[in-house]
Amino acid sequence: MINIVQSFRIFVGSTLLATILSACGVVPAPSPVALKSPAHSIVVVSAIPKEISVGYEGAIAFGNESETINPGRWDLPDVAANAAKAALGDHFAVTTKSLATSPTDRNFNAVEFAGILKSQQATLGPADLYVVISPQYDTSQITQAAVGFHGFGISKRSNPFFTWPPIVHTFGIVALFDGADFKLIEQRNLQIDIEARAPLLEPQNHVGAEMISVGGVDRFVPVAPLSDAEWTGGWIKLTKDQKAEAQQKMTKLLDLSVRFTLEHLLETGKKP
Amino acid sequence: MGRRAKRRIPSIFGRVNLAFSRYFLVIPVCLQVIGCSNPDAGPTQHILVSTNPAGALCTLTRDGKTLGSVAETPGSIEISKSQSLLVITCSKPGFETAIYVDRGELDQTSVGNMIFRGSGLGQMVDAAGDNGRKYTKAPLIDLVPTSAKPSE
Repeated sequence: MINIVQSFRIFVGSTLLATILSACGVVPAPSPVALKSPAHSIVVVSAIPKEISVGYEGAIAFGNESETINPGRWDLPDVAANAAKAALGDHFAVTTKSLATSPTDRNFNAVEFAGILKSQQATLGPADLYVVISPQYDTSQITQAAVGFHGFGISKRSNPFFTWPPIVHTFGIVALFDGADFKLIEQRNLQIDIEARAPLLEPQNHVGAEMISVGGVDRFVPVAPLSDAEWTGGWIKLTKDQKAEAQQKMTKLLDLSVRFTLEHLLETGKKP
Repeated sequence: MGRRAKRRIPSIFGRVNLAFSRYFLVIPVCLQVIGCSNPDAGPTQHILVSTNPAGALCTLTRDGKTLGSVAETPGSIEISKSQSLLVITCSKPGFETAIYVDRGELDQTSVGNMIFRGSGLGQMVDAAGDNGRKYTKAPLIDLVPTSAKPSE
């Protein structure tokens, strides 16, 4: 149960944050990429670790908790690969490949991944385009509300005055590489259709939902609130139901954001 | 010689005895040293490569160059540390070739780095060399049967 004081702190914090975010500008909706030559075949490389981050960021460093855990069979790499295939399959010959990766604290590096694609082409197969889906560590360019959080995971922030609701997030990128010379064509943050995300903001009267709905900067950012505002971090502190909610929301966020980003990037959302 | 008088040295708190001053100086210095870099860090590390199922041939490459291979998993191999990505490719008859990319993690295992993580001093020192990053010690790579490959 959330006591009155805690509720008030959350409400005040969320309202203030939403106000600040609204004044900071709006992340534009994704726009299509211009390809030099028409693409027919695409290899989707799902480079997503099995592990997720779980973190709590307090007012002082000593209170912070951050861990990388394997949540079990959430199958996030497959979720991303299947979403990409669903978004592109009607327009391109799509094959998918899950590329296992370690959990990391470093940003996606297009040059490094170009080298991997080139050296592993025999395994991945030839294609006109390679689409790489990867978590992103540095989220400062994605959302100001998420500073301190990264990649795919569950996070919560608080300071002596405000407590933000815990959120599930899938901060990631989609990168398009040319299949001939392996040069980066375009790199975009994963974004989400705000209407499609609406059900994930339930319960509607939750302050976290209000924060995300009102915050202009966060309009297209793949985040969703968790129900339990009392949770203060730590995977082991989540109940079975909370883990199930986190899995359901993270899976849905990833699926929706990969579809939305790729459909707009390669203009496959429109019917031919 | 007669009994030595306790030496005293000046300090910001006035005159205190040497024993106390020694601890007063040594403790922060120790913390700073621990916090600056990982004393256990070395130029190489062992990696135990495992696959599910076992018995795969795995090759380790970095920057396009082959570092070595494990003839039959599970198996261990010693490699040099680097800021570059480590790519492990594993193959086994009847299974799809699996690619594992290890992007390395900043080594924050030392107590000092954890305490002074906010300062970034330790990370800066580590980043100057290659000691600051470490690869996963024991990656477990899943192999997918050829027949069980997802619809493509």
